[in-house]
Amino acid sequence: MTKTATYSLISSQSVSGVSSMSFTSIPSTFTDLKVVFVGYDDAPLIRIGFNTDTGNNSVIMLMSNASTATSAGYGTPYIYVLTPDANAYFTFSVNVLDYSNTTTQKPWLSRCDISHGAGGVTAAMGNWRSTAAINSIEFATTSLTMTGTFKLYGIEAYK
Amino acid sequence: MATTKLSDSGTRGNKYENLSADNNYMETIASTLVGAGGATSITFSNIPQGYKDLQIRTLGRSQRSASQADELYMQINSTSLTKNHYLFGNGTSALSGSATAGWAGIQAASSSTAGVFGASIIDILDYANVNKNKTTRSLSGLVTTNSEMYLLSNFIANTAPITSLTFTCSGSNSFAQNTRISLYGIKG
Repeated sequence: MTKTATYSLISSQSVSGVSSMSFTSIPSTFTDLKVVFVGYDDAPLIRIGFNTDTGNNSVIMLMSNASTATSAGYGTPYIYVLTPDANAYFTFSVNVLDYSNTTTQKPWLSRCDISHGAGGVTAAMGNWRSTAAINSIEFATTSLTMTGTFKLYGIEAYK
Repeated sequence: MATTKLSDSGTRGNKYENLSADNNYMETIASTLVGAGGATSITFSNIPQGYKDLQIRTLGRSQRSASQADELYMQINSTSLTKNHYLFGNGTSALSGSATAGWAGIQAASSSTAGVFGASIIDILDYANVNKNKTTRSLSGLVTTNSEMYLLSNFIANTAPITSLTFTCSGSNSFAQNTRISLYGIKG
């Protein structure tokens, strides 16, 4: 059994006051992808997209705030639909499994933790209904407010 | 209380960046990709003890008939777990409950559209610690006609180090082709 170090940083991008950002030319050499965001965004949502296709998506979400737990489903691949405080830091991560596989659709799992204001904890399960290999990932919001750092990691399975 | 210094930057925009894990903080241990014949179970044995935590990442589909979904079950050291709790959402409502111990995730089944798979990420903390009972946590979901997702936890009152993990579907159902279960060690 040969152990191989993995969880390799593919790209790190810092953004300030933007409505979208993208990782492009993602190598197909890993098994899974993980994106970690740390920053802030005054808009009430951020969505993900793959290969510039914002359609063909479904997502269900578990949300908890200070009082209740709820679940909602969307045709837009939202990471969260909460309202963070202005300029208040939060974090989310997204795992995309078997992203370069050309025989399966592309499920993804995310966690978002907004521990201030009208925030809460969100977990989401999405599916991009495509068997195409993912070579780009976009994150977008509704205004020029996304500020922080996105890191894209590649996770390789044992071979 | 001991503290860990996370970053020297401390400036806005950089202050928390190092909360994300270090590069190469995981190592591959084993992985199974199910072939055309399916698989009734997947076992990782002789798990090395040199890590802090374990992580299992799965893309799952079962051959269970007349159903869109099937459960993913896990045994530790060939022993069934003893407690289960979950938080569930289906896109309309959320609820909490408990189910058969060892239920560690959800996966697609035969009635789901071809190519649809469930996804699960399971963490087992301090798996080699001989003073702690073993607890697992899962983030798992399936998007199909009737979508569902879960935050799951399982428990076994046993302090033995984990040396093997076995995964099965419900009943006598088998994993379908292209199901993948990968095991990783996370450095402390």
